[in-house]
Amino acid sequence: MNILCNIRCKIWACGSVAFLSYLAITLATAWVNSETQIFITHAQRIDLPLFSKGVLANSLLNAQNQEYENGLLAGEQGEVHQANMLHNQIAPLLDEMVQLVDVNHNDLHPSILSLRDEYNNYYVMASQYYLEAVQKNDIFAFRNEIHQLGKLQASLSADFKEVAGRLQEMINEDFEKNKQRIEFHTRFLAIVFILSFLVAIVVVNWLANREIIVPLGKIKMMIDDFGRGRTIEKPQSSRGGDEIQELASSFWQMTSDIQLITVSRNYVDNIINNMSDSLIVLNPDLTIQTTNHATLNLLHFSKEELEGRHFRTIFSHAEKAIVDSLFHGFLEGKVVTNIEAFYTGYDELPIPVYFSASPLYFPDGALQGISCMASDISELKEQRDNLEFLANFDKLTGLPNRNLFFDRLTVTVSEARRYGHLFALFYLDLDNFKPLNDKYGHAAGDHALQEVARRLQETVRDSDTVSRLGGDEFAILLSRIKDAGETIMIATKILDIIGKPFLIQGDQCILGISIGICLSSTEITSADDLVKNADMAMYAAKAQGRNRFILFSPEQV
Amino acid sequence: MMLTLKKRTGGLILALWLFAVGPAAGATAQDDFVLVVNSENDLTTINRKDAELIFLKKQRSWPDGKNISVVINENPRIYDSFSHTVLRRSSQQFLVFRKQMLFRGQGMPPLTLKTDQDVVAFVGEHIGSISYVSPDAVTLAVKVVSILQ
Repeated sequence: MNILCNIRCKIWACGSVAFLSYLAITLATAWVNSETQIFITHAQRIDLPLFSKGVLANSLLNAQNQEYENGLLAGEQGEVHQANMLHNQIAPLLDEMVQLVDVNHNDLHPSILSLRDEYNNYYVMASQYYLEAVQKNDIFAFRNEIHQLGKLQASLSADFKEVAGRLQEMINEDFEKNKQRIEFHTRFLAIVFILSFLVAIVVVNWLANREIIVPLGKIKMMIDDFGRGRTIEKPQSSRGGDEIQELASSFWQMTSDIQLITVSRNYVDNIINNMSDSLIVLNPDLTIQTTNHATLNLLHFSKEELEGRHFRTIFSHAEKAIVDSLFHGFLEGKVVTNIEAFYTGYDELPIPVYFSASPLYFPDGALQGISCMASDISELKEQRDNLEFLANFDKLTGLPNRNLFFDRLTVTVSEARRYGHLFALFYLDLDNFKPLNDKYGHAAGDHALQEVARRLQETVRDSDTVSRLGGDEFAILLSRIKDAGETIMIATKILDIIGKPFLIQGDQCILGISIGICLSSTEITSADDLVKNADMAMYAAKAQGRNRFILFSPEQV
Repeated sequence: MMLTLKKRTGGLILALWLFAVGPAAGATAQDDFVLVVNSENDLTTINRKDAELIFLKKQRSWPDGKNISVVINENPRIYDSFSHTVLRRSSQQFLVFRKQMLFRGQGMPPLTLKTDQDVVAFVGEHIGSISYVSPDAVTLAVKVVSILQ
């Protein structure tokens, strides 16, 4: 069973190492204290009593000697008795010293033993002869014995002093030894503390590194690798793996799941990036959050240039007011589908698009952004314009064709009817065009027709309409005129300008033109009538010799 | 310890008292004794101080190296006089001195004789001996030694 099976156990393991270190220091301190206690106990039970008894015995012996001396010199028996009484204190003291010293001090034992014997011998003699001498009141009667006793006593005193000195030395030695022991203990404790501390540091670091830091570092590497898009190997799981290992496994599992999701997202991104339509996602503040490739191709901006830019700036200037109102609608949840709008790209040219937009919401209902789709309809619009041109204009001369002319004529008729202003309709047919066409070919004929159209346009105002109705037939609508005189003046200018020679294939050719003019009047009810009248006038001009104009009058009908 | 000190102090005071009162108590005529040595001894005079040292056994041999044998004459008529004159202390003090010397084992006390006759006889027989006797007890066996003050 792995004892480091989870983080709690690992922390406990580190704590236990520190605790063991503390225990080692405590045990060392306890040992040191026990050593000191042994010394103090020994000193308290043996050495100090021995010393104090030695000192006491020495002083008692001196006192006894003094009593004897006083007794003998003064002849006082009482003093001698008192001296003898002191023996009752000295002898037990010496016995106790012998017992104390017996076990513990081999070197002192013989000295104290002999001291006791010496004292006992002395006392046996002293107690006898001193008393007898005092009783006889003649110290000199026992001169030999007393002289002998004096020598014994001197020797005894010297021995007592020596023993007392040795006891003093013993005590000093004890304290000196204890000082040394304390110094040794201090060093010993310091070494034990440092060693324990170092061991604790090394072991705790090793444990923390092996069990926590390295596994966490592996997870960090996994996260870094995942962040860089690398494939992460499945962590090896062992039985009884701890929370870190579980975390690694969970992370690996999460990355695997995310990888699956990421594949789907790539797929979606791929689709979005490869779709032909532009997709722009806006933030709620209408700045651009992200775009697809189609948008970049459409606008010729880089992704970096677009992201963060306000969406208004990519709309054509003319549409900005509309855009603002539209986006207010988006923010309120409105949807726009396929309206025509104009983006503005890098070259600031308007790009026609079908624009759709819809708001995006977070699950809690808050606005997340706006999704904007746009299809480039430039080609479509061009084709449509082409069709529109073909439907309303003459391809050869670029002049409005019959359709457009009649359209404008109808509008002019109704406006004239409404506002009562005067307008005129010219119906024109080239003279001698067919021979020119036959002689120089259709291309030359087309060229002549283009030149005629140009000259006609030069002759009239911009507000007037020059139209080719077909073949060599033209029509002019003078939308507003003052009077018939203005019409005649314009007709004269037309005859003039058309009458100027055309340079065709190096030849100067003269073309004429016959003009039928119909002025508006209150009687005219339709455009067809006007055309018919003008046509009639034109044919009248033809009939009258061509290259002239005829103003329609009801008499011609 | 204190007890011992008191006892010692008491002993010292006693000795000083004896030393102080001694000469006043033993004041006697100076010429009622003479110092005597063996007749074969060459000594004729002696300084008082030398005599004191000899009797206090602080000098224990003659100039020729022979041991000095001191004899204390306890004849009460001259004992005090001798003690005061030669030893400059009372006879009691001298006695205490001798007792202390004996008690402390510092040396055997001198021979003590009771009468002049015993002293003269002893000195006459022992060449290295010295003592003191009444002037009228002097015989040819001994020689009187003059004391120089």
